[in-house]
Amino acid sequence: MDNKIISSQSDDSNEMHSQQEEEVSSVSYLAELWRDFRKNKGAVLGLIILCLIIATAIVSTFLIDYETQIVEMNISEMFQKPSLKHWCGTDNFGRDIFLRLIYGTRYSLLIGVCSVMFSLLIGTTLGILAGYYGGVLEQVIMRISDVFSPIPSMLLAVCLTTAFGQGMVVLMAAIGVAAAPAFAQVARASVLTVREQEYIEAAKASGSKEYRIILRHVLPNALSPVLVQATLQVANAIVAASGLSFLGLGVPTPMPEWGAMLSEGRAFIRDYSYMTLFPGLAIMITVLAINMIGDGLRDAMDPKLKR
Amino acid sequence: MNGSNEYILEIKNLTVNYDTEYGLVRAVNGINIVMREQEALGLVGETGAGKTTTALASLRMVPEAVGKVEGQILVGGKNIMEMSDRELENMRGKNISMIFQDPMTALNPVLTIGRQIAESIQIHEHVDKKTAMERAKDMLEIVGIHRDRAQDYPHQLSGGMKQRVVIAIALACHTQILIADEPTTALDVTIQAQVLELIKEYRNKYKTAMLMITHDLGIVAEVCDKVAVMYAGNIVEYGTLDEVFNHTLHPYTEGLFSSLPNIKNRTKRLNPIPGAMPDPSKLPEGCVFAPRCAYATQACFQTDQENRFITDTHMVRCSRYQESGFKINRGNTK
Amino acid sequence: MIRYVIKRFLLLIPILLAVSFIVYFIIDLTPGDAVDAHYSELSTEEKDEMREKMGLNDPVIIRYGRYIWGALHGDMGESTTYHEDAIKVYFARLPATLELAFWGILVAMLIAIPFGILAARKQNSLIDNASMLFGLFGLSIPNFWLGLMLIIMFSLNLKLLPSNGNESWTSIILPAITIGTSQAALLIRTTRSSMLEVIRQDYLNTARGKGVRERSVIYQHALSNALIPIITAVGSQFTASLGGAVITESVFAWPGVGRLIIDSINTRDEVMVVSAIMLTTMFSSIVIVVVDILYAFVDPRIKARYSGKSNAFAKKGR
Repeated sequence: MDNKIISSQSDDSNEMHSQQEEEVSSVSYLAELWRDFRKNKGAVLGLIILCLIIATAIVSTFLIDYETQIVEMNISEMFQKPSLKHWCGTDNFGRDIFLRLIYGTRYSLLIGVCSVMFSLLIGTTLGILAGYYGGVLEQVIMRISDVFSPIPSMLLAVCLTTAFGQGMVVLMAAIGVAAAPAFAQVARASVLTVREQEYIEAAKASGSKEYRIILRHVLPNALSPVLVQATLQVANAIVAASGLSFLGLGVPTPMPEWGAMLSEGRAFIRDYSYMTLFPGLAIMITVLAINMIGDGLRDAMDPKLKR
Repeated sequence: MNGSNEYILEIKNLTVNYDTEYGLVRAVNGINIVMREQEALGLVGETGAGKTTTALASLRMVPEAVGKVEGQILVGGKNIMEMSDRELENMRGKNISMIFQDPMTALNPVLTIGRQIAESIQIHEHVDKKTAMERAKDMLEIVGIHRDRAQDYPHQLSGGMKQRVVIAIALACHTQILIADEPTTALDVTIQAQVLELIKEYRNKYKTAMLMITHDLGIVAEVCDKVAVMYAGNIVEYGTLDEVFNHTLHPYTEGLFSSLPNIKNRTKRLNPIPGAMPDPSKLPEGCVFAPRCAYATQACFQTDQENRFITDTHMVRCSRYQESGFKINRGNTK
Repeated sequence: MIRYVIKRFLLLIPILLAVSFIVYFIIDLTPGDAVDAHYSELSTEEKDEMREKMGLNDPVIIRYGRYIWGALHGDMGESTTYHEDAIKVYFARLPATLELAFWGILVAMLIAIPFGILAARKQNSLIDNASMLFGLFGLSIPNFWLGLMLIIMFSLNLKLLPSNGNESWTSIILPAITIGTSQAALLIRTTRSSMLEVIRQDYLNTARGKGVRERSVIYQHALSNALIPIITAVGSQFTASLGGAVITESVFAWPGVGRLIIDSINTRDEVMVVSAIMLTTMFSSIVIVVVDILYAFVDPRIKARYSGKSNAFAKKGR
């Protein structure tokens, strides 16, 4: 009986010990990542700008009333050039462009993030499975990805929005699906690299269970390139979404999505060019901030740059 | 070539410092080397002693952005430190050539081996492409590769063959000075023997002088007439093969010999030299070897060292030889 | 080597079939069909009869099969907007898109490659930082906005360059810059990192040791090695540039297939939409295979692997 108590105690302490190890490794990984990221001034600037943008989006929910300020037409104030009253001027319906821009932040951010979630869910998961299990599963997944790759992602998104109509959800799904093959490829390549590493052999040799191996060893290292890709893809998704809206295939009017605003302003480009200046600027600043963050992440994770 | 000068290569007070973010790395600290025609000098030392830097400096190939080179290097009597780019390009490959250490990365992957040899010939001998290629194929045969393989790419060759191509490139224009930087380190022992044999034959035929950089004393014994022992950027001992091997003067050289495993006495423990070579960005005061030297005295840690000639040809850099009668254990092994 | 080429092209056939099926399937999901479009005045029962007759109730595989069969015979239906064979309309507009893609890539390479090389040679210098900044901004500017800004500046204010269509030889300039900028941004980064990788290599020192002049060392020995990943990047960007063409053509009213697709969507010319997208994706698939093959030609190591020219003495890897 004594033996039994002792052995179960030691089992527990093993459990606790390895749990602590798990925590320690992920905490220190994040801490080190943040430290390296912080060194990159551009990346930090990008992060600050992005936080400001997100804050703006959240605050605008409370401060701006959709009906009166975004959608209602005000013919008397049509086509006013930028002034103190209307920071970015007014459009052809008399609506304040600045307010519309602020309000429109949510569309871009939402579409960006959700479409990437979609890509991660489909693409990355399949890629990890393909890389880890290999064999027939890998072949099937890779063939599917090969078939989707030659389709220009813009055209694929056009197809999907044509078939399923306009709307934010369709847009998110379309962009997410179009980017999924690339996510699958990166995830698989990443898993393959990690799988070959010797420490996986070592873990197996010391008897760790398979799911443990995946969780503690494969995932943290395989996920670094995926994280970078996801960040950069948010930026791409925002551009793609505004591009599709620009073509009339994305978010329907009168919602003030930036690309749609560009499209509306285009008709008046000759006399009121400010209408096309500001929405594009908004897109560019947001995308720039995200790209800087993505670059910063990539540099922070690059082992070659570490001392 | 400047006929009046008896030395074909003369390195005078060469100092090379690298400016890095970790501080000033003093790779080479005022060394002197002379070589006559057809002479073979072995430059011996551990990794990091400054041998490769010396070799690069002799062709003025130390990257200028980070490396500051001081001193004079005379190739055929002309100081390369004062040469124009044009003159340097003419000199490299023709008057002085280098064989690099790692054959696996020394060849351009997208050019055929024939092209890579022919390029050297085209540059220096001003012949047309066809003639150059023919001569390149001749060189291949000289190094023991069938001439039809001239249109092969480097990845199609084994390590030993790659190294032979590197040698062919270096010798294609019948250079007078060949610098070989650990040419056999990356190769199997049997291939090593072949490569050394090849170099020997070539030297006999074309009377080439050779600076053989190596950490392998066996190779030195086989191939060289003179030996220079390098430690932490200094040449600590310099002399003929017999002098350095049989009448060793410097404690470091002694340490190198004693650390060789002795096949006759296999029960003895191995004899490494205790400690490690100093960090070239943090060289100690006084004698650089003193921290590891069995003969070091208090004075050794303080006095700057000087080159001392014990015989006409045998130099040692050890202040203990000021004392009359100072001998190290290995002294006379006749 | 020839066997590899043939094999790749043979493999292309199932890929083309799969790709075209996906496109067909997705567009087929669009609500409404030809009967609704052309025979809207009929009653519901009559419409259903019509559908049976036209074979529109058959499973999608069969309809797709019919479609492909027709396509192989040069018939992809008639465009309702242009009243001509869809294939004819498409191929009439394709050259304009190819012209745009070509000039776009040319502009991109002319900017990116020289500056990428300089940036790599002089790391952390002004040129390096400026190039990287250009890379960052170029990737972040949405190209339709860039196009509009260029139009504002050069067409409307300075009245230097045309903004529409394809009338004079100057018409290509703004569209090419628009589409080329983002490609240049990506390419400059690729060039720089590829050169940085190559510049550290030992074989460059071997070349210098031979007496090769510095300029040749960089522009012949180094560049020919660095170009391999750069060419792959250019090739793989082609697919993306087709997508970019869709938008750029809309901005500049450029008479290419991109604009054709968008216009057809807006006029609900479903026949045209399907054919145009399908032909474009098939074209893109072919280009990918061609680029892969070219890549094998350019890199002798890959070439040897595929022509089975390995050698008894060659050691693998290392």
